[in-house]
Amino acid sequence: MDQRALVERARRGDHEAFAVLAGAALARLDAAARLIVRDRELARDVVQDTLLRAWRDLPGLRDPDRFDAWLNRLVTHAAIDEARRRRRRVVEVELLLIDTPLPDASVGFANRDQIARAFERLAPEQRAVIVLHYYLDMPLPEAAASLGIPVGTVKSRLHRAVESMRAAVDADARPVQAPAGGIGG
Amino acid sequence: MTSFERPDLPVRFELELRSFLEDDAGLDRPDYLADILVRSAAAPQRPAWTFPERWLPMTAAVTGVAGPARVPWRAVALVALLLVALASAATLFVGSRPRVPAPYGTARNGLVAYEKNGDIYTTDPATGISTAIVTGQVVDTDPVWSRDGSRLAFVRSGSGAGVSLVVANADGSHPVAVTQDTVHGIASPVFSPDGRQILFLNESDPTSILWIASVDGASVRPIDTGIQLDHPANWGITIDQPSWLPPSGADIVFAGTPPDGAASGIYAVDIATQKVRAIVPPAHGVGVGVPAVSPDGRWVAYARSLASVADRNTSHVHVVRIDGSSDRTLPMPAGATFQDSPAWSNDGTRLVVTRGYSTRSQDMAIAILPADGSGVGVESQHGLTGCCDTRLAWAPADDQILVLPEDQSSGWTGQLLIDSATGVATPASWAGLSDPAWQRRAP
Repeated sequence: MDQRALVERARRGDHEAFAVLAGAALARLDAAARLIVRDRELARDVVQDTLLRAWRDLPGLRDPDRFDAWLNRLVTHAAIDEARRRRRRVVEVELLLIDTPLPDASVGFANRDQIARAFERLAPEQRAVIVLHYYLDMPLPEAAASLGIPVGTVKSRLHRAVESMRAAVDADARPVQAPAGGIGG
Repeated sequence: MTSFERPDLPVRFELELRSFLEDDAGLDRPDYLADILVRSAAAPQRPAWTFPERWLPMTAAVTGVAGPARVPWRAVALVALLLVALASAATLFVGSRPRVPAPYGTARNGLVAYEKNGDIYTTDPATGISTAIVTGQVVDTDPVWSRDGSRLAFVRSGSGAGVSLVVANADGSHPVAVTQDTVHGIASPVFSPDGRQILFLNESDPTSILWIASVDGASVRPIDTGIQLDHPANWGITIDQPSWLPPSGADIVFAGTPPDGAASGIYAVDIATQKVRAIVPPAHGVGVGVPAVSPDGRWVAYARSLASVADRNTSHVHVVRIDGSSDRTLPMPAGATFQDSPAWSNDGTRLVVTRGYSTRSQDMAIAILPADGSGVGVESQHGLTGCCDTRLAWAPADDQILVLPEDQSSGWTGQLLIDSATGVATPASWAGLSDPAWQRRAP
């Protein structure tokens, strides 16, 4: 049975059809949520809430062919929500090993750890647009539709996110200095 | 030469980024599908008639969702005649200077600025007539008005020279890039009270993300908040929602996390001395954020939540004196579970907040309540928005609130207008999807 038929059945209350749809989407949603919230357990909560909401609100989905895009949109918004809440609650700062040998920025490209740290530093909205475009391979107009923002905003947000990552990786490659003074007393 | 100066790096970096995302996502098969199905099997589906388009007037729903509105030619002609008459009358006042509102307090409602498809538009909320004032191949976003309504600032990208902060006249004329090539990531621009400077977050600067630019482009400089962001121990630190402290703008108020990473706090930094003081000091197990300073500069409203509670939103809106004393929690009605994202009315007597009736963002309303904590106020219908990224701005006359909803998956696809006296929400007639920006005009 094709997806459209499954969505139409699920929309009319067929839970078995919904189970098939949820099973097919679960890995994708889980990966996207983990990339955005950066926490496996929170991502699980996000996906559970997303699929629960999807089941509840399916009768309101007007175009069954947009089911996947709708799910992507729900999970992206939920993940951004969760990441922002988590950031506001407490910003857990990871003390990294300062004695780690510094990379030589002149000879190679960013390594995986540098990219991971730069990705962590992005705002949740920036991580979301990167995940939609570079991981879920969405064209920018589709990413814009998923986020509910204009294409121009997606372009500028993506541009800023990548520029920020490059700057962070660049900073990572420079010698570190001890923190001094300031609000931490 | 750093790796980023190599011309082939952008493509290589994107390849590295894709590869990192694939690896980081992994090939896990989540094992909790059964849990979801058990929960969903027990949950009833919402009947189709409960979705917003069923209870909104169809004309309003269509206006808010669909593309360009029909042009009301009669109204346009009348407005044009009116403008000609006004222009003629204006010539009688040779030598007179345009009146501008005071930087704080109520003012007359002017134009709303918004971004659509990388261009900047203004619209008159009274007539619904929109005008593209900044267009072209580059991407222009995030328009904000100066406090006197005479100028606009916006962020420009896509020109091949990174990102720049641009200031233009209110009609989009005479745009001037006020940041240098060294600034690449710009967010949250806000004019100083006198309109001569703009505060913004420089997201690409690893050493200081609070920056100030003069509107004539003569200077761009960082503000030292004491957070040395180029130190690995400080990665992950955020500075949120910076604003000028009224009435003079001598200080900047922001939410941030100190270098020990224990908890977030609300701070003020003196621009002249760069001395930082805590308004709401960080406390273990407590998260604070989204500070909003009252128009008289005497109070700060902010959201406070418990860090130890992870499965629900525990945020409450507090109001505290600027010196950190007299902290009080604003009340909520029975059944409400959290309040968030406060914004002050221009007369300083009321706050607009997002209000939740569930554990997270499933059942949200927008509430307008007295800032002195004497009541729970009025609120909009539920289901308009989500939790944490709703953008709220009062009309200069305080009669309405312009809202960019955060969660648009329920059918809302643009800005909303809320009557501040009744809480009744209607979709805006323009296709604005950027943060609310309402021009102040002299009364």
